[in-house]
Amino acid sequence: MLKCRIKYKGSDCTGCKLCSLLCAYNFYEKFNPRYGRIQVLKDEFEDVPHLCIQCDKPRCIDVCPRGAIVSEKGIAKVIEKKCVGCGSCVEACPYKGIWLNPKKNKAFKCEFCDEIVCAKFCPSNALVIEK
Amino acid sequence: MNGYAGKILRIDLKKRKIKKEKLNKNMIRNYIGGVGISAKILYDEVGLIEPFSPDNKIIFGTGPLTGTFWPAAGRAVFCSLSPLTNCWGEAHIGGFIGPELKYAGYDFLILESRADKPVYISIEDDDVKILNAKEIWGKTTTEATEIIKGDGEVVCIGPAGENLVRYACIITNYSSAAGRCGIGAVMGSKKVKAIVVKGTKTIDAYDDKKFLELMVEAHNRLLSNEQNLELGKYGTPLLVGYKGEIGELPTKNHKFGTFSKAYSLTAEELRRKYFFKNKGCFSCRTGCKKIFKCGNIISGGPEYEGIMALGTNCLNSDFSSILLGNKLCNELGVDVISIGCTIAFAMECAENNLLNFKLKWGDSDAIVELIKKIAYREGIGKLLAEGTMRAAKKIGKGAKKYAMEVKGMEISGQDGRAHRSAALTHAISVRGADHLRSLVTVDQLGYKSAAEKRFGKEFLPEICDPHSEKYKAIAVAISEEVYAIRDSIITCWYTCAWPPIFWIEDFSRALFALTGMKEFCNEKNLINIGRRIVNIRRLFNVRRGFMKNKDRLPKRFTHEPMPSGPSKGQVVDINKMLSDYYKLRNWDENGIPNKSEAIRLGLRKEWKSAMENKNFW
Repeated sequence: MLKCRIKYKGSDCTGCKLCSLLCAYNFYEKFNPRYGRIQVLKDEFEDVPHLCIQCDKPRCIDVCPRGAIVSEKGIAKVIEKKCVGCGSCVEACPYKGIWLNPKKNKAFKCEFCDEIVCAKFCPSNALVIEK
Repeated sequence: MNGYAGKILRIDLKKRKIKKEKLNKNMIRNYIGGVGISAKILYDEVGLIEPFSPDNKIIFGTGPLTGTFWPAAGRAVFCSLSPLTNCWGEAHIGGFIGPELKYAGYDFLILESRADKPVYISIEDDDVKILNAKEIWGKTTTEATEIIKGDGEVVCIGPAGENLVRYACIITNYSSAAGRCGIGAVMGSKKVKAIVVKGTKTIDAYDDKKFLELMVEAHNRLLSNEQNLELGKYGTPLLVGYKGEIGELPTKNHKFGTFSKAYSLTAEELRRKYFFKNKGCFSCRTGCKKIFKCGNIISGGPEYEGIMALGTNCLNSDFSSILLGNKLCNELGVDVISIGCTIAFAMECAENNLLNFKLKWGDSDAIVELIKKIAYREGIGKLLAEGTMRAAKKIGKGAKKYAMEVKGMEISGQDGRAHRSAALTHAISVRGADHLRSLVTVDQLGYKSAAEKRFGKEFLPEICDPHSEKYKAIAVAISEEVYAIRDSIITCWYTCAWPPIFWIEDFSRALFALTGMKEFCNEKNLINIGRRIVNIRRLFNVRRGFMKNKDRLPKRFTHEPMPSGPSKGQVVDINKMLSDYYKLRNWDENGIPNKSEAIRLGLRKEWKSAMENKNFW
């Protein structure tokens, strides 16, 4: 099974949120990093980008009461039509890699797109692509 | 409206009235956004009043680029009548708060009148509330931020703002400041402790394909520019070394331009010994912010200006005290440049027995103690919280000659004797002795090709000569116009002046692709808008009696030759540069915009009201 993922190197994130901003723009052609499928958790002395690492045993799939998250070639994907926005997946994910879209109230996550703008444009090269 | 959220949020604190107004398209056409539109609003709405009067207003503004993916588009600006200078006040801020305001649906926020008791403003898209600030009043900026942040962004004042310290600042993201002009004190006078914003709306571009293409090009230019990468690695402390080499490192209250112990404060040394982490503002490709760790102190900053103000200018080479002092300035909410220079002033007064207070040059513990005393207005802090100009007046006995200020604002980390264009910049800057409104770097750092491209080949080599007055007015005037655009669109000072990458043509292309407004397509028209902004801010000051009489430098720069270093023997001939500058601006010999220039720029009404009131003071 082919599995691709984007991973944080573990250091060098400056917290600029360019990854989230570009990811959101790539999907919607609109600006607001809140809609990015990668989110930077920040505090005074730490910045950590969070996103789905396409783990081997996705808890999000297990806990979804509607079967709205399915695995396709090792990538967990949200079927928006089925999602009711209950947030079980958000609570279950140990990597903090899935969120509810604040407008649509549907789960959304990194589904490993072709453009990978988050990693390509990271000014400090903090994200790596694993194939 | 592409590139804009399209609304102004107006809050009357006394009546607790919240109004949402449409952003006028004509205003955009004439002033773009950011500092430009703020200048027009402040000119129209803040007349001949005192800075701490309830009638003063605070405008928190963003620009069309704010919140987009353009490099360093996380900037926003606070404008108000400054309690430090009693004239035009503006202070820019990084972090993430500007974009968040736009995502909530507002390009501008205007705070009016005064709340009856301490409040903070909560904005969550359309839901705007004025809340009781009992829980956070009196707290440091870090404490207040932690309490109200949630998953939004916060700007707040510290105890210094509450105590009306005349150079109190506004802090966001723990260590980013709208530093200068004391707008934090205006916020304190309005009893507004903080603004917390969460926005889930979005901003659109007019021509997505073109704007994306321009962004990618700009992105690549930055990441292939060695100076930009160096700035990202070391941050602004790099200037400690650069300025030491050219003899422009303010030392001992701006008396000297070199500091024998500066080596321990150079960027390389700081990175080697204390580097903890890189930080970046929203959408930034430079990442100049550094977190340092020294002993048990971890803190964002200090920038070059902090190292200068709390370090070299006070003859203090102890980095741990500079880091702690800088941290205190952020937590207590006070401008590090003004407070450091005020302490240096107090040290020189003490040395000359003008103060009934013991204070020795380089006493690092005393510097840290004084920061607290000033923020809380305790003991001698009460006097120094008024700034050098007012303190000197109160002390009398010739203390004025040690007050290194222009228009009441303490001088930032340049020295006109070693960097002639900086002398003119300090003298004419609309907000007082500050560098960021028109600082020219071509004569400071010797950027010949940038000088040729930006100002013209015919002005070389003199325009790059740091010790000559020749052609400096041209460089300052053009830079001031371009920076007025930069501060209206709004993008960061870095990448524009140091290193000199983006300039008016880049702004014009990006603005057109983003907004689709053909007025921004034409570079000449854009420069004209820049001139309009420069002139309306000037008229704001003229109306308050600020003309050539206030465009002056401390005698130290004009009459005391630089005692040592690479600029030894240099003094500034400010009058020559001033008259060159006024001529270029089409202002009269008194520094007042000529009527014809005002009319050409569409400022007839503003000119008239400035003329009617200029002698009021």
